[in-house]
Formats: sequence, C-alpha cells, structure tokens
Amino acid sequence: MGQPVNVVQVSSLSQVFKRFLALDDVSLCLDPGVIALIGANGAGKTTLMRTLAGALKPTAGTVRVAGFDAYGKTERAQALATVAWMPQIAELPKGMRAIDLVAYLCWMRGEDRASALVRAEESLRAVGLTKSFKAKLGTLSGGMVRRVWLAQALAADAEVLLLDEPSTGLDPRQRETMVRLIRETSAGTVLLSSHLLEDVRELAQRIVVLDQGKIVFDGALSSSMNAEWFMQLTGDEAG
Amino acid sequence: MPLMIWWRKTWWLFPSALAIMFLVMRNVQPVEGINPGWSVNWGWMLGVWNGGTLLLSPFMAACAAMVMIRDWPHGLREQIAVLPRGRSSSRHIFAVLYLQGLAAMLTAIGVAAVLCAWRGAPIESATLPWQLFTGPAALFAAVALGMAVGTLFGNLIVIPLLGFGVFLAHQLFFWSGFPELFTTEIPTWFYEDARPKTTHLMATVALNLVVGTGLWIFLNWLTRLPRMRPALLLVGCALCLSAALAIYLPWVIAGNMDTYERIG
Repeated sequence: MGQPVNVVQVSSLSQVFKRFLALDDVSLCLDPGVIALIGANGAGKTTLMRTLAGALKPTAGTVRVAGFDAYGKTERAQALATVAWMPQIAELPKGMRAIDLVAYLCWMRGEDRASALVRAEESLRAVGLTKSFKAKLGTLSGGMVRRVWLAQALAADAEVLLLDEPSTGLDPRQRETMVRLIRETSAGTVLLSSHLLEDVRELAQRIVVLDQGKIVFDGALSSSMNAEWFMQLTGDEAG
Repeated sequence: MPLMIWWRKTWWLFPSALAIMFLVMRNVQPVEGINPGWSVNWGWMLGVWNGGTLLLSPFMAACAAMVMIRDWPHGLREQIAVLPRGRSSSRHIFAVLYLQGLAAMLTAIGVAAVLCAWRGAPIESATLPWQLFTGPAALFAAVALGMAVGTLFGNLIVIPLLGFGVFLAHQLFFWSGFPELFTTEIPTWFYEDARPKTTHLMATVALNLVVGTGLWIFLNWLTRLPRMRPALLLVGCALCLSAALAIYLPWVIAGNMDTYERIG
C-alpha cells in the first residue's frame, strides 16, 4: 500500500486584514474523513474556510487541493473543481426558487443545463426539501435555507466539502436534522467548522482547534474532550 | 436556463418599459394643431422613439441597480466568484434587462414606422442610420451604469437616487447641445425642413458606447474577488472614460449648440 495522499495541504498560511492577523502561519493537511474545525468566535475559522474555498487569496503561504495550487494562475481551476463550499452566512436572492438557485450554481460549476437540473433535484431531495423545489427562498425557514446551502454543496459532488458552521442559527431540532443530513450525505474529505464541540462530536474523527488564528490542537477526537478541555486549551468556552 | 431564471424574476420590466415608451409618445406636443404631433415625419418620429430613453434609461438604470442589490446580494457573489462560470451571472442579468428594454423600444418604433408609412411621411427628414442607434446605445450605458452602481453600493437608497440622477443628467447634455449621455433627444418642436446632424448623432452613439463599455469593464473588475482584481481592467475602464471625454470636449470647446441641419 502506498502512502496516503493529502487531499488538502495548507502550508504556512497567513491572512492579514489591514493590521489584523486573522490567520498566523497555519499549516494543515486534510485526508479523507470528517475533520472538525473548532474555535471560538473570531478564531479565524471562516477566514480559513474562505481561503480553502478559493475566495480569499492568502497574504502568505500556499493552499494545494488535490495537488493543485488553489491560487496559482494555471492550476486554480483544477484545484477549485474538487472543492464545494457551504458558507456560514450568505445572503440569498429571496425571490429566486430553491431549485433555480441550486441548478444555477451547478451550471456555474460547468454542468450542462439538463444535468444541472437533475443534480439540483437530487441534492434538494437528499436534504429533505422535495416539497420545496419551487418555493421562493424568502419563504423558507432558517433551517430550510441552511439545507439549501448544504444541497448546493452536495450537488457539486466534490472531493472536498467545506461546511462552515452549518448549524448556525438553528434550533436544537433543526441542528439534529443537519447533523443527520451531513452524516448521511457527505463523503470524501469534509472539513466542518463549529464553535460547539457537541455539533461535531457525532460526525468527526479528527479535531483541529483554532485560537486567535493559530492551530493549538490537531488530533483524534475523543470522548474526554469537552467544554472544560476546550476552555483550558483556548482560554475560551465552547459548547 | 440562466436567462430563464432571470427573466422569471424580471418579466415585469418589458410591460413597464413599453408603457413608458407609449407614455412618452403620447405626451409629445401637438404640431400645428394636430394631436398627437408625431404622426407626420420620419425624423421627428425616430426622435420621439429615441427620446423615450428620457424616462426609460433612468428606469432601467434604477431597475438594474435594484436587481444587483436585492436579487443578487453581495454575500452570494463571493460564493459564485470561485466557480468556473461564476462571473457569467453579470452577463445574464445584463442580457435580460437590456433585451427587455430594447424590445420595448423596438415595439414603439414598429408602431411609429407603421404610422409614418401609412401617412406617407417624408423620409429625407430622418438621419439614417444614426437615429436608429442612439437609443439602444444610451440604454446600454444606462443598464451598465445601474449594474455597476448596484454592485458597488449595497444600499437600497441608491436606486431612487440613481434613477433621479440619470433623469437630471439629460438637462446637462441636451440643453447644452452636447452629445447626449444615458438619455437621448426627444424633439420638443417640429422642424419641417431640418433633420438631426449626423456628427451629433454619431458622437452621441460613440459617447454612450465608450461610457457603457467603461462601466462594464469596471463591473467586471468589481465582481472579481478582492486581492485578485487585475489592475489592467481599471486601466481599460480609465481609457474608455478618457475616450468619452475626448468625444465630448470638442463640443464644449466649439460651443456648438445647434443639433439640427437644414435639409438639402
């Protein structure tokens, strides 16, 4: 058996916004499986997610996805073709139908019209929105909107799935549904961010803890990890 | 599919634009006691058709800004900018808006042409083909302006401000006799033995095309991800706006306010 290939390789990554250091020399390798990215609010989780998704050019360092440089001129398209991203907060075109948005995003990924529509239907069905295909996004509940975002990420059928706080703003029941959906539908390499340990406990095999832009822990998730452990690690509280 | 998605969201534009065109045509002043006054002369009639942009362009610019702010929000744009065909949404929105505005203009000119042909109106009063291009060129500039402004500012207040601003811009250009930007001329009096000057119409078309192109390039720059926006696009935008100034300045320097020439 050969050496396993890291699907995502992040080397010496830094992100600076004006004078604020959001990510500080982050190095990380992601292999297939569900990896939890945990950190308090403002720790840099969303910045790391956006950078991995190709939406935020690093101030320093490199991001390689499937061996391709995500910010290199010639390799960017190949790298991003293997990544799907569910953003934490994304405004929605409220007057657009759920099926239209997901199919449109599929088409933008390079699918032809017919297969984009089929994929959109399949992924909306997978997240339990069969009855809401033609519903306008403005009429859906917060939980359903998060599911539409999950559906568009799943529709990409990508090797790497970036889920940025998928349970943000959801009530306990909706949160439970979201955890179930992620467990049932996601495959390949999944990076799942949250500020709640409880959200990821059932899903992840590995945990990466981010604090003030730095990785302070990277290892297997165990039952001994709890809010107290997290607080000791970061000086903050989770879950 | 992409065009259909945007058409479904903006289908009301065409009937609204058509109503605007007919509103303008209905309200032109009577000529020599004949009301409506636009049914007797090709040059006059084409002027009225182009002059519909006086209301249509501000309306379309405001609608374009509204679509960019309300229907294609900023947060979503980052999400799509990483996709291979992500930036094509600007082209889809532009196409759907512009084509609906153009369709309304073509319907209006169709009515105008039928009436002129029916009345046997004199064709020598028309300055062809340039009179046919000024309206569509102004519409192009107005929609590009609306999309760029809507992308740059996320606040809904810019929608009425933009509409009002484009409407007022007419005063600057038309009443000064300069090549017109965003809105083109509507004749307010009937010149039986005169027609619009070719050079003035050509300059108007060119002015709108270079400004529209400059705004479109700026929009393209805006829709790219921060830190990945090519400076070359800004150079292209600046070149287009410089070209607009180069077209505009000779009229300012010459102080030539006469936009009509005698026939023959």
